[in-house]
Amino acid sequence: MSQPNHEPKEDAMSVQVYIPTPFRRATNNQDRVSLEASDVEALLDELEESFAALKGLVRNDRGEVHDHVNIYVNNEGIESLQGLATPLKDGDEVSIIPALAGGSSTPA
Amino acid sequence: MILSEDEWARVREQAEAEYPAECCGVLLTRADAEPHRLLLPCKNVQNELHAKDPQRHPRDARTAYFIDPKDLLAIGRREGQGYGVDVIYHSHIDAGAYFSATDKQNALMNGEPFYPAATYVVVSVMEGKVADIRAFVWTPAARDFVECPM
Repeated sequence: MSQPNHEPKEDAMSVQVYIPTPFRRATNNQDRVSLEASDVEALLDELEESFAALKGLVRNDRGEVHDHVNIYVNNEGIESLQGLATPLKDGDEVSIIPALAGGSSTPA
Repeated sequence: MILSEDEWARVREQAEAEYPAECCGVLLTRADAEPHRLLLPCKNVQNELHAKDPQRHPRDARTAYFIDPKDLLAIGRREGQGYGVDVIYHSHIDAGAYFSATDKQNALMNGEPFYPAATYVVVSVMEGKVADIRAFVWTPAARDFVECPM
């Protein structure tokens, strides 16, 4: 488990981040990371600062979460919370999980 | 063995029951714990996505699948317990059991497979009955998903 060496921010909360298999190539194979962040956006910033290879995998260059990536705080998708502004509290677990999707070649 | 007889029977049953919607699910495996194999039929939420935003999601569940994010979270939690995604399956409605361009596009991230070790199983359901089943694996030399024996 990683404990990145950043100075804790005053309003930052200690959060566990679950990293699924597809993103572990960018996190030195770590499946869980402990970070301090006040909201989801700050958490993604911290995460990308700790693991530069994650840049572009979770968010696009405009800072928006890719359509094929789902982020959950505990059991709730952030789209039904406050999106990237979703506040975090001590002990929250954040999961970043890519979509599984596909379909036939038949046009809709 | 990609799917046991029992697993295959359950996938077949799900594929026919959910016709004319594409079905989907995963098989998770873990060698050092019981159960070793865990078949997780998932909910296809493509119809909901299409109804909510048809421009962004022009297909409905007849020609596409999108695993319910709640199921994705459950899969992620199992992965956290040490399970691996061994098989990802879905059905094609009144179409063949091929790995489509859409399937490939959605299985890749920046040109690399999300799950390079997983086998993708595609079930063809014709007029409500399973007609064919085929399996595909990522083959680095071909930079493509190539059919493999079931």
